[in-house]
This record gives sequence, C-alpha cells and structure tokens, in this order.
Amino acid sequence: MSTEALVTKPASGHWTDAYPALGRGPVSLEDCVSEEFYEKEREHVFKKTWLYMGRVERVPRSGSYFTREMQFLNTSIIVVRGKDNVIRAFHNICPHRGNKMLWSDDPFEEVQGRAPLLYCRFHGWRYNLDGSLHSATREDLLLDFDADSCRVPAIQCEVWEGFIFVNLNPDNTESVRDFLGDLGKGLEGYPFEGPHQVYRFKAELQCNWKIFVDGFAESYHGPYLHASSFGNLTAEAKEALNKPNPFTDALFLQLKGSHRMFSFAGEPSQRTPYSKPIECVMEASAAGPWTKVDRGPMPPGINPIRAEKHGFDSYQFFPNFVLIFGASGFTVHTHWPTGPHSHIFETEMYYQPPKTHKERLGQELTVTFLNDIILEDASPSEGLQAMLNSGALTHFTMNDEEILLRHLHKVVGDYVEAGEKAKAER
Amino acid sequence: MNVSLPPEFSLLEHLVPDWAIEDGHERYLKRVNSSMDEIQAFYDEVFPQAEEAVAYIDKFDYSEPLPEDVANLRNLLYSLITVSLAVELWKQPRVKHSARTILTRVS
Repeated sequence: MSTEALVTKPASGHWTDAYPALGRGPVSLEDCVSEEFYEKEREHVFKKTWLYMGRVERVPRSGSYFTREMQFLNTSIIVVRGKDNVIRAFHNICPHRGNKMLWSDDPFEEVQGRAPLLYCRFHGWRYNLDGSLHSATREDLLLDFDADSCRVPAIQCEVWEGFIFVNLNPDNTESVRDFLGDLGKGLEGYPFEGPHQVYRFKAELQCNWKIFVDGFAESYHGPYLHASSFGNLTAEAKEALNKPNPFTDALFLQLKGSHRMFSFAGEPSQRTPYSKPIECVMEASAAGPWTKVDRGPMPPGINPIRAEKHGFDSYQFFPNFVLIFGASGFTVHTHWPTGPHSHIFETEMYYQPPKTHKERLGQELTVTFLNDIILEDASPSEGLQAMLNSGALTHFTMNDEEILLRHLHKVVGDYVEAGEKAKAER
Repeated sequence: MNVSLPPEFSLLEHLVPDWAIEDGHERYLKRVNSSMDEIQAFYDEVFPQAEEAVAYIDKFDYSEPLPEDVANLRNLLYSLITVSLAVELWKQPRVKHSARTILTRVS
C-alpha cells in the first residue's frame, strides 16, 4: 500500500463519493434473515474462500496439531505440522471407514496435541503427517487394496504472516496472499511472530455473523451504545456527540477488492481526568498500557496516514477474519455462522509478552475492559436480529461512516450472485 | 489450599478462599454469580491496598513462579480487576444491557 495510492476523503466530506460503484441508497437486509440466502452463502462464500484457522504458534513442532469444528460446513479440520515442517490441513476423517479421527471425549469438541502419526482408533490404521497411509491393520484381510490412494483427504492450506488459512474449494487457484491483496501486503512486516501473551474468548450469539462483523466495522456507534463505558464520559466526547467526532470518526478508510479497513483514534491509552480508579492503579485502560513500548518501524498498513492521534487500525478480510491493531498488540476476531440467525464469535488477543507482573496485571485490565465493551454490543445485536426476523423492515439505512458495512453486504451479495450464475451455466 | 498472604497484607487473608482465583473464566463466573453487595465488600477491602500490592508483587521476577503467598495476592488483584468495572462502571455484576451473555475464556 504505497502512500501515493491512498484514497483521501473527497471534498464533499463523504467517503462514499470515492466509491461510486457501491451506491448510496438503502441496503437490503435479506442477507441477514433469509435461510435460502444463508445456504447460498455457505456454498459460494465459506466453501470457496480462504478461512483463518489459527496461528502457527499452535503447531510449533512436527506432529503438533489442532482441530477446528466447522459444523456449518459439515466438516472438522485437522491442522498439523509435518516432519518436513510443512503445515497441512485435512478433513478429520479416516479414509478406511470414515471414522472421525482426532477427538477426545466428545467428537464435537476441538482438540490439540502432538503425535508422531495420525491414528484412527476404530480399526487402528495409522497415517503419516502428510496424510499418506503409514500402516493398515490386518493386511492379510485387505482386498484389492491400493495403499497409495488411501490418504486422509487434504484441504488447501497456506500460511500468511503466521496465520494459517484453509480453502475448502479444491479447484481454488488463488494463493492466500493474492486473495488478501493490497491490504494484506500493507501489513507484511508487522511484528506478528511470537512469543505472544495470548488471551482467547468465544461466545455463541443469536445473530447473523454479518451483524456482529458490522458492529466492529464502524466506531460511529461508540458515543451512543457505549455511552456509559467510554463513549460519552468526557467533556470532549460530550462536546462531539452530534458533530464530527475526533474519537470515533474514521481517520482513514480503504475498500480494496473484497476487503476493507479503517483507522480511528479511540480513547487515548493514558491518564486523563476521567481515568477510573482501577486504571490509575494498573496504569492501563481498554486502549492498552499507559507506558508505550517502541516496537520499531511499522509497515505502511499501520496508521497509513501517520495520523498524530491514532489509536486503532481495523482490517476486515473477507469473509470473516478481522485484524485489529492497537497499543497492546494485535487482536483477531473470527465470526463463524452456526445458522442464518446465529454465529460463534471468537477473539484472540496477541499481546506483547509481559516482562513484569505489573505489565501482566495491566493487560488483564485491558482484556477485561475490552470484553465488557464487546458484551455491550452482544445482546443488542441479538435483539436487532430478532427484530430483523419480524420482517417489519426490508432495508438498512447506512450513512457515510457505515461504508464498510455497505461494502461487506455488497461483496457477500456479489459472491452469491456470481456463484449462482456459474452454477446455472454448468 | 494455602491461604496465606505476605505479612503486610495478612488482613486480607480471609478473602483468599473465595476470591484468589487464578483461572480467568472462573474469575468471571465468580463476578457474575456474586451479588453486588459481595462484590462491593471485596472491592472496598482490597482496593485501598491495591497500589501497595502491585508494587510488592512487581518486585518478583516475572519469569519465575511466584511463592504461594505472593501468588495468592496476585490472584486477589486479578479478581479486583475482574470486578472493578462492575463497581466503577456498571454498578451491577454484569455488563449493562448484556442479559445472560458472557464471553467464555478459552485460554
């Protein structure tokens, strides 16, 4: 992402004017309520695009593996590092009789661990870490058996900057790096590699996955929905309530291909007259530690316009992989549909490893505070979904700060339309 | 369970069995399953000593395991952090307008 290529806010004052193809009218909300659309979305979006599974630190050595339960795609995925150090992905199934291979007590709970071979406990067949057959049991019983074709079914798997992705479309020809495009390239060189202090959380929410992605695609709702946590507490915030808002308005935004990003200032991570008592003790707040560590030069995608009052960059990679950068490190949000009106939200915070107990306590406060703020979004999103289901409304009204939402819904619609068209032509 | 705290903080020892919780998910459950009176009482006792406790713990090397009494003190501070927003912000154990939803801490 070179500086010359950056889109600036049009003189009209509306970002939307820089993206005329996006339109500016009401946006259909059918993609959040229709079961028929959901089926098409699974088929044409989630079964055809690169999906984030986890970071490479989860498979540090040969034989290290973890599974991801993708029930909405009717599969379970094994991610494993081979003896040749290559990270591969497989459907979690034994090619002998179809037994689910890696699980512990409950076949629908994810597992992780390390093993020299993939072992099927149904009949004791073993597979190498590259999916090829190591040994069947009772070879004397085999009939017309072709050992070479007896492989754990592979899934396309690639790593970008330490993020492991899979693509369930066997005909896919686009690398994950090309798929992530210019926005991804602008982040290359960020200190993604570990060690990290990782905090992981998840919740199943009764709303369509896009509703919750949308909640993180604009900070315009901050002063209102989050009025009592941070949005409307300070004199400066109150002053900006119905005007251009220096905390929440996008400092910069960009829509590129299927992906999008925006930067905003947020609340400063420093002592203010409004700091809460616990923040003053721990010297940290939701935006991170008050003592800043210089992490060296950052790639062009971090604070692209080098704004002075800059807090966060939020990247929404299609379809459901969100990367948020702030003073503490980076955070991943992933949104997994479980149905047309429900999804699992996962968040992984990759913070800089604390060097002192005080730094660790400060991170605990940041994490606790951020999660409480996320919970401020959760139930309202569920109420919203329930009302969309009423059918009382057919379209969203989206303003200029909601341009990223407009883009997501358009891209999803375009994928579904293109997929249906290709199917009809076959 | 050893319920001791470093001598400077011995007045807080009666809080250790209920509130010195190392596991983040257990800690959050403790918050949402406590009454506001219980949370406020815990906060009122620990908060005045928090700054001193942070300084005390911070003298220990982060890369080494803490002695048990210091770990208990640290776990009380973790719980103080977990409940602090209930006291300082929401005035109730759960986040305002969050119904029954919580985020489950996976690790």
